Amino acid sequence: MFGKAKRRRLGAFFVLAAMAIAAIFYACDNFGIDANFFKGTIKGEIIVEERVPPNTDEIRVAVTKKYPPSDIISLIFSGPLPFDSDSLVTSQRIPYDLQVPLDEYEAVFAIWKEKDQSFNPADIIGLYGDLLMAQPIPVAVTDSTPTVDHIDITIDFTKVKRTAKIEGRINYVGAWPSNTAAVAIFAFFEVPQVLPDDFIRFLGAFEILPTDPTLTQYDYRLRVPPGTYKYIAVFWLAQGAQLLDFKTLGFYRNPQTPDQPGQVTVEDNGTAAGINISADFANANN
Amino acid sequence: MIRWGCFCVVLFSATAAFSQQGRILGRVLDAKTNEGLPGANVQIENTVLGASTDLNGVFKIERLKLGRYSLRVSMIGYRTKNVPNIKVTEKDTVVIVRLEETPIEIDPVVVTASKWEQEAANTSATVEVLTAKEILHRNPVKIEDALETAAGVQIIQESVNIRGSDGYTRGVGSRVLVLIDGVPVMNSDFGAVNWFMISPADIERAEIVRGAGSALYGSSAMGGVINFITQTPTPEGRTFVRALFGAFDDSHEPEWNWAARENITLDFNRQDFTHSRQFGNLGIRIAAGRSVSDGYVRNGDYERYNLSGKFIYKFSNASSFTFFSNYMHDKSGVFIVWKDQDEALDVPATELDKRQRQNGVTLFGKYNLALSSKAALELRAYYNRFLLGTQFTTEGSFSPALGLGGALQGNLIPFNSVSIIYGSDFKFDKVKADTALYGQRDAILAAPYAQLEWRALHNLNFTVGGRYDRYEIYSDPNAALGDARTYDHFSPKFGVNYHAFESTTLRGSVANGFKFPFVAQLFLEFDAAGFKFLSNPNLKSEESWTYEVGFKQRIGSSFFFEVNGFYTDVDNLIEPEPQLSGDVRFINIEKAKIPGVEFVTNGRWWDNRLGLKANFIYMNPRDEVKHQLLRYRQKFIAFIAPSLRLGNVEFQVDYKYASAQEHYRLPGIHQLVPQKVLDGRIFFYWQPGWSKRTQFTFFIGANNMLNYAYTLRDRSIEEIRNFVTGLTVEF
Repeated sequence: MFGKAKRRRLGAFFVLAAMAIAAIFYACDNFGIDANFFKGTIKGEIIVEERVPPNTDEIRVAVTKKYPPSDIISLIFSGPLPFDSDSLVTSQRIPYDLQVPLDEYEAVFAIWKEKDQSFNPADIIGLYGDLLMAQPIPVAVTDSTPTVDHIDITIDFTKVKRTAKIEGRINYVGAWPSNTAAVAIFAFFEVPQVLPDDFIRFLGAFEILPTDPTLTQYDYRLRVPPGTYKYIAVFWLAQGAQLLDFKTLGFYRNPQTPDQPGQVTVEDNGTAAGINISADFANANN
Repeated sequence: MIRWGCFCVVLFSATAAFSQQGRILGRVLDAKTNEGLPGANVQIENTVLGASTDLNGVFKIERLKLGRYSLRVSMIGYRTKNVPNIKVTEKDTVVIVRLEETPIEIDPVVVTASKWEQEAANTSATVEVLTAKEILHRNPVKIEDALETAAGVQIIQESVNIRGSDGYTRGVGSRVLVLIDGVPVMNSDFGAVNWFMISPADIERAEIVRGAGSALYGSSAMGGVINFITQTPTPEGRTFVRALFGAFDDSHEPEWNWAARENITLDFNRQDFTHSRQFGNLGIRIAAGRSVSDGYVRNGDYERYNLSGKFIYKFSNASSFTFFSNYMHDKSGVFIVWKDQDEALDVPATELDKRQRQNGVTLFGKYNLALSSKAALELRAYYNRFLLGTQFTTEGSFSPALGLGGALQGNLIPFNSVSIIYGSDFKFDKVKADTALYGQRDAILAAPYAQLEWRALHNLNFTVGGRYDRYEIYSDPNAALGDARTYDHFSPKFGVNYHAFESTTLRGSVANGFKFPFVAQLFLEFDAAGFKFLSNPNLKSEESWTYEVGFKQRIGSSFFFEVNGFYTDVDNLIEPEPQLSGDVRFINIEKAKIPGVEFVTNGRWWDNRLGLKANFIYMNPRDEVKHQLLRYRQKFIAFIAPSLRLGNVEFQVDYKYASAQEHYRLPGIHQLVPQKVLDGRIFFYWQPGWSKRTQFTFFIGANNMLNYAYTLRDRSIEEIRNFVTGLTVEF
């Protein structure tokens, strides 16, 4: 019926068509994503034993497979929790349940968001475990226990009641590295020694600063909870670095012993001014 | 540069004026039926002269110096034919050319690779052509989805991505330049294209140039160029009418159907009409389209209209004027992210009433003049006005973005083996939005360019060219501090094309690409669906070097395969990245690399009854700072499309596979699965006995037949299974 050349061409077609059919069969092996991917549930209550600060916009529960998380996009967030913002309410328990894939999670925590502000990773106001010591209790959501209940979290708003201010001037030394992802100012209650635990345990407040490569100085004003801060530093983060891989560009120095960090005490509604810091970009690559 | 160009042009014109002249009269026929072919393109090689055939396939080329010439005759659907050694004397020279119908476009004549007509086989760039038939057959509703049948092209919502150059940005700051008839149609504020302005029925072909095209086209062409060539008015008068109707099936997860969808069939329909006619020297073509859909997700509904007109007036064989106008309107719901994966087709409660309205007007005029057989000029002017911003915030915050552009381009053939394209593009952008968004930003672009092609041997071509772009964005008059900025860039290109044998082509190129940040990338801030997008006025322009080698083998007249390897090295890649706060902003990724290899084949066998189109691409688009796959990119993409035609019935199946993406942008854990989409359709063709010019095509098909659920971006399911049927009439 066909000539030799035609038979060869037909043969080529059938080989290619067989590949196509094999591919189609491969396509039939499943239906892609499904509604039950988040098969697990973590549930419990958020326990609030004080008044919710009036500048509270949202409180959410988040879980992470690794704590502290390497970046914010690896977190699974709940929706905003329905807290009562009435100033007369001093005690409330807010139930939550969070759909998660079956897995082991190092930490379940509550994160706070201020009105008209973005989420600040420092604003963890509750942790399933010990918030003060930054020691979370892991939670395993498995096939045999897809729902893990009673993961209750007690809230402590102390950290986010930023009713005091520390202000001063940051003098940038050297050229801005081209791989700058972020520059931020941090205030710690104690000098952090052990990373990452101390970093989380002693952090009072931090703020991301503008990253304009033409800046040679910047006047900052950091809102902090009242207290004594023993380490105020400007940190630098490289593009692609993990969340806690900050490099210290400079810190506030004790005027008497400049090789030591300076200490700053600030009262409720008070301001500690003149807390100037020299931030040297030469330290970015150390 | 322009002065030099004009000088040369005048010189050649003067030479021609004092010479004796002759002309070629001819007819282009279908080799099988011996009937005249209207609309065929006849070009005299090594000159800028050419003509199109009339209703009877007749053409006439005048003002030729006496001597010997070669003709190149081309037409979509026919194999390009070269007719050498035609002697032109003072008497008329008569030529009859018979073109053989070809089932696939192996080496068509293209205009995008070098900004002038040449056979794709002779370019140093990788070009693929999708014909009108392919576009209409593959996806009758949205033109951008039809583009995905080309190798390495991936569409994620409005974002078009060639060879991993782009991810998902809702089209903002596209790295693929989209043109209509060679004129840019990107809007001035977002650098995006509104695909609906392009009606599938209005397109003769789409030329897709893969790889950096900045050396000719400037910013936005860093990843490639897509040029939609609209249909030319036909001498005999043609009308095209198409109506289709479709309906979405339920998703494979019953719980995904939102409450209001219960017991309702979600459907869509589209109507297209085009008519073209020649009145003496004036050709007119008008097109209108309407597309309405309930959408397969809540807020996925839309109602869209477009209207376009094209007018060509031929003053003589040597000069013509083209005017194109287009209006589009879109009224649709806004779906940004799903409510959650348990309710994947629904939107968050805060998004329920989100609507958007978009309008666009595009006008352009082109004047072509052949000054002599060796020199031609083209003058272009265009205007576009788009209002796209409403999808990002409340209506009324944005004013339409205006773009006013022009170009002067010359084509010079100083020797038979050398041709030069030179010219300059100009553009003025005027965009305005609330100060909190991006304020008022005017910008101006000037970009001279030149490209030289040298045929060193009969089978060896070299290309060298470059373009210098200067783009200035002026300060917002309401800004406290001056924030004007200027970007400069020179992008060179070198290429080589070698025909080892008549049917074997080897090519290689080194090309520089770049992209300036768009106003929206620099200054826009907005909140949407609970996410905040931040501005970054410190963005630098991005720059790339692309190295490419390719091999193409033609076997007979109906089968070819092609293998290309490429490597792109990018500095300061502009990508939207999540920040410490979870907010997103465009940043410069210092280093990124995209190595890859692609295989493309197309063939027809058994007297054109059996067909197979396939392409496979493997690439590794990497963020060299984070040492991970770039967001929204896939490593492996395959497309396989067998077809079978028996008499008046044709069966087509398309299968697309793409490996899973690895990184998204929004917080959370994502279920990452590959893309596996199977489409099938059947066509019934009928030509009534009473008219040879009338053709009816009835079709029925199913898209995503397996009802496979996948995501190409955060929290959004791609189109679920739908069925479509329709009728096309051409007369």
